[in-house]
Amino acid sequence: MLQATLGLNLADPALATGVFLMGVKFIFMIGVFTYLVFAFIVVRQIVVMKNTLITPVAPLLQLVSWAHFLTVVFFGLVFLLIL
Amino acid sequence: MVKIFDSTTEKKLPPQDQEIVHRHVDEYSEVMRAEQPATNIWASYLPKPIGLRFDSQEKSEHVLLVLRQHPFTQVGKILAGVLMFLAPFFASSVGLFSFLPGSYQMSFSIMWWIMTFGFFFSVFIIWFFNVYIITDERLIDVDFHSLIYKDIASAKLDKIEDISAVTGGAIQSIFDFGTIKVQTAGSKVTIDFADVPHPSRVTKLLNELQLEEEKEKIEGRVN
Repeated sequence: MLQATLGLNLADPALATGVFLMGVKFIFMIGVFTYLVFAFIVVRQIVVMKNTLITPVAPLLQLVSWAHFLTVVFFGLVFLLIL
Repeated sequence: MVKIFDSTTEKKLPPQDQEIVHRHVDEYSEVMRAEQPATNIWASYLPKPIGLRFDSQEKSEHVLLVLRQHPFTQVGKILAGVLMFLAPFFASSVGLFSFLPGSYQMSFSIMWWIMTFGFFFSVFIIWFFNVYIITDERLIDVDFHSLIYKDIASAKLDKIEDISAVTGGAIQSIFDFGTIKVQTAGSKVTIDFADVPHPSRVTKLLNELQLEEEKEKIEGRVN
């Protein structure tokens, strides 16, 4: 059907591999985006937690959560470019 | 002589303005007298913690003990995290993703390790902020069952009806941790301090606090 619609010759191994890898990249990027949402929830939740229990180390934990979130953003962009 | 103005007569404040005069915990609690103020904020047993407060804490209220689950209860999650960390090496050794180009394999591994860190971190913060607080006024159970579920229950010390400590199995006996069940007359009938260290010591402290609360009532220690 893809072949008929887009005029692609999927019998060509190079093209079939390209389409397959594009599919893998798409699914992978959905996973990365979902994880990005989780990382943001962690950041927000630490704000709620540190307001509930006030400790001297709460800013450190918040910093770690932001570092985690920004790492996911950075690598998400890297994956988007290199894959 | 009839006194018209008597400055020595104490004026009674309405109940909401009365401040309860607490004795220092070391004066009436044998358990707390033996404890040094905790400075290590990462511990699971924090008597008289320094620099630790909670959002609904009253001005005159003092935190006497903060408890977290015993670190041993986290061993299963730590092992799961270690296995997660090692999984990409295993996948690489058996060639699980060998049909994919190297850049894809590397990207999967990096993302997996970030997720492993996220798993460790979320387990840690849930453990760290999931606390049981004993003050000279009440008990507070702060539960963060997951990252998006928060449940805070508290009970006044004078509402406590029954305290029991359960330590079951070899592991709990060896590492001295267990669950303390506090039955209250409040809306939340039971407050559980799950898998906390030194359950017998905590139970003894709760009994001492209850006794002091009763003494406060009898002696009418309000100004």
